[in-house]
Order: sequence, then structure tokens, then C-alpha cells
Amino acid sequence: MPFNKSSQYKFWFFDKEEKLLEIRKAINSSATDRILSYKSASPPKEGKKKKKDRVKQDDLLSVDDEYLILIKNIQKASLLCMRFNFPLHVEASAIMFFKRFFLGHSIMEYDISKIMLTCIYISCKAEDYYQDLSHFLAKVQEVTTAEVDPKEILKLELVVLQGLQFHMLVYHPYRSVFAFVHDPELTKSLRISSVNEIYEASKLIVRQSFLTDASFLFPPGLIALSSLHQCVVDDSSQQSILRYVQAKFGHQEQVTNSLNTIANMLQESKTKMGVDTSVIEKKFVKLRKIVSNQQKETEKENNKIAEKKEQERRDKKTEERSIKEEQDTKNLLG
Amino acid sequence: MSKRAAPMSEAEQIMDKENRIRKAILKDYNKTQQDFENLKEYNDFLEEVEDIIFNIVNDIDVEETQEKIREYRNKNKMQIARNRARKDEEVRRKKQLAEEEVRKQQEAEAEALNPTAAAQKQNVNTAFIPNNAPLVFAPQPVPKNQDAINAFMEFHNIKYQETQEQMQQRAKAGGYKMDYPLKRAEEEAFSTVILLQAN
Repeated sequence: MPFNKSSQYKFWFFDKEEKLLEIRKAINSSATDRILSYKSASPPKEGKKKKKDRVKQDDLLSVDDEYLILIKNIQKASLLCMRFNFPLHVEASAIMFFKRFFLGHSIMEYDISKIMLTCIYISCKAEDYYQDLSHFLAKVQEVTTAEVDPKEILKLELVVLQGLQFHMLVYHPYRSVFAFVHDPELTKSLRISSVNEIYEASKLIVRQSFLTDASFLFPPGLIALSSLHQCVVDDSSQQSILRYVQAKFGHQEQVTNSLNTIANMLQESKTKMGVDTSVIEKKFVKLRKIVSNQQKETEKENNKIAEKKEQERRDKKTEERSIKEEQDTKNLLG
Repeated sequence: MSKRAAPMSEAEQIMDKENRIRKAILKDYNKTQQDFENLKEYNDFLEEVEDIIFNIVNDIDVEETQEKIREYRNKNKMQIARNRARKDEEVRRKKQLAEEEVRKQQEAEAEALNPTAAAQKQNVNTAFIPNNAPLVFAPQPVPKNQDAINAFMEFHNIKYQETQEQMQQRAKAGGYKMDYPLKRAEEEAFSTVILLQAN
């Protein structure tokens, strides 16, 4: 289907970077409100229980912290997929699902590494590269020595799918790169030794672009063009790319601006990757323990309430039934 | 037993049961007409077999009939083995004859298509037939298994080469053209660089 009618354009495409920042801030603030306002139903015991439940404002993550941890996990996912030799579009879909999910949810409230594995599993299914879950987790265990129970991934699967609003089809720049590289009008004017080289190099740059927000802001053809633009080192080739764009698409200025923006975003992401996140990660691990305990307790309480309701409903029904029987016997016996 | 698309109906189930039982019993009760002196005795034997099969299929006197079968088997072990060997021989001989016939027929066809032979039959000057080579559509020897094919190709140093055209033809038969991936990629690339804002 054409890109303008796809779910990616309708729901997961934004005009400005600021919009994305707004959304992330909103998610972060709602999550922090929920965590801070948690009051356990059971009375706090003396000493230990108090520490577990209470969260201070300093312990919470800011929007930037969240983003840094997100990028770290995207890198991990990318490395994992490369290690298992998954095809490029499987890896790309997994990363997109991951980013989209955490655009609508905060990382403080979900187990991020399990969600990452779930995203990879779902993307394998969506991109016709099905991996058996237990085999996949066994492979993961070999590489990362982290033992994950398949049941937990299956539980999270539906959560993630709901978070994605069941939009499984994602357009990646890889196909557009393929098309541009096979267009002789573009490649004959570039000073490159072989078309294969530039193809491989631009695929690497596309992979790096997944660490930025480019896929939310620019359509895949534009990202593909920008990756070619950045592959070619000398000026004359870059000019010839722009001339090609003018010849084929017109709007040269708009396209050039976008290409430059994407290049800047990539540079920024490189600097962000170099930032030391060990402090933030420790904070995050601590926070996650507390929050997951909170969530488990709320789940237990909700289960208890639900059970009580069920019991009441059953008692009511048996009462009604016994009343009915009495009436029936009365009617029969006159 | 191959899988069926729909479960068997009752009649089919009964038939299936009978066929299985029949097969098992006829393995043992395998006398042919040659083993009997006259037709009547042979017919009596056949009737006995049918009775046994009927009893077992319809669950009548199952124990008695099973005893019968066991007794028969113990008494006639030699006969049974001999008859089985005889039957295998016959099957093998028939197969050989069939293969020979097929071979002879192919040779005959090759002969018929040979232009020199055909031409000589018609008294045509054979000098005008180029190279006296066999025509292209003469039937090739049909190899019976993949090992023979591989051995043949290795011996004559032939590598299976498929021209581009042949590959395209094969793909087309499967409903796929080799330029689909490029066309799809081009469509996606050229339609997603500039997005016209739809109102």
C-alpha cells in the first residue's frame, strides 16, 4: 500500500521533533505521578517495609535519562540481532516496535529487557522469520547468560501489541536504498569504485539512524537518500546527488534541509552514545525494583477484590436459585 | 496411511477395518489354487478364510477364530513360507518384464526418429542432412534416480547451467517475475521522498 495510507504515516509520523518531546514529557510525568502517589493497602510494618515502598523525587528518571537508557537498549537489541544473523528488516522492525512502545509508555513501569526480547520475537513473526520462542531464549541465554522464562515473554506479548495499537507493518529505508543504488542515473555520476560498496555503507548508516528519531520524522525514502548522501565523501558526488534529487523530485531546498537535519541528528546521537550512563543505570535498577514490587502488590490487591466480587456473585446466584426452587415447590404443591 | 481431509464416515471406517484385517489374515492363509487337487477343495479353503475374516470384523466368536488361526499357523509354517517366497518371485519377474518392454519401446522410438534410417527408408539422399546428427527432440535416456544423474554429470564434467531466460520462465510459471523486487523497491523509494500533505 502507498506510504500515505499506511498506519505508519497516520499514527506514528510527526511533523516536528518538539512534538515527540512533548509526548515523552507527558508520559514521564504521568508515570512519576503514579509512582509517587502509590499507597500500599496493607499497613506499613516497622523498619524494612517503609524503605521498599517509598520513592523520592530524586530517585525518579527524567526524560533525558529515559531516552539515554532507551538508546542503550536499542544498541543491545541491534547487537543481539546481528549476533543471530537476523535479516536487516527483522532487526529494523524490532527496534521500531521498541521505540514506538516506549513512546506511549514509560520505561519505569515495564521490564525493559523483557520488552526488548518480546519486540524481537514479534518482529520475527511479523517479518516472516519465525523463531521458536524457547529456541530463541536458549540462544539469548548462551550469549547474555540471562535466563528468561518463555511464559513471561508470552504474557508481555499482548501488552506490547496493545501498546503498538496492533500496527505491525513498518516501512524501512532499506528497500529505498536498494532502489536508489540500482538507479544508473544516480550511480554513474558518483565517484565510487563499485555500487556494492556504497550499498553496504549506506545500509550501515541506515542502521545507525535507528538510534535517532529520524524514522518518526522523515519518510523512509528521505532517510535512504540521506544515508547515500553521507556515504559519499567528496563534494562533487554530494552535489550530483542533489542534482539528481532536483531532476527527479524538484523541491531541492526542502530535501536538502531534511538531509542536513538527518545528518545532524546522526551526529548528535553519536555524542549521546558516548555519554557515561552508569549512574543513571544504577538509579534505574533501584527504581525498577521498587516499582515492580508496587505493581505486584497492586496486582495482588486487584486479584483479591476480583475474587471477592466473584464470590459475592456466586453467593447471590445460589440464593436466587434456592428462592426459585422454594417458589416452584410451592406452586406445585398448591 | 496418508492423512485425510475429512474424518471417515461410518461405512468407510468399517471398510477400513475389514481391509486391515483381511491383509493380516491373508499373509498367513496364502495358498493358491496350485496347492489343491481340485477346484472344490480350493473353494472350501477360500470360504473358510472369508468366514474367519467375517467373524473377526463383526466380533463373532473372536476367541475361537483366533485359536483356529494360531493352529493353522503352527501346522503350516513351511507352506506359508514357501508360498510367500513364490509370490515374491512372481512379483519380481513381472517387474523385470515390464522394464524390458519399456526399454525396447524407447529404442524403437529412437530408431524411428533417426533421420538417416528414416531417410534411407524413403530413398532420400542422406548427404543433405546436416552432420548426420540426431534430431534435437530424440528422447534422452531416462535416469532412474538422483545418484545416477549425479554420477553421469560428474563423469562427463557437466555442471547444470540454467540460462537467465530459463530461470525467468520457471519463475513466471510460479507467478513471479524477477523484476518484482526492484519495482517494489523503486515504488517505495520514489513515493516516499516528498510527501504531499493531504488535507
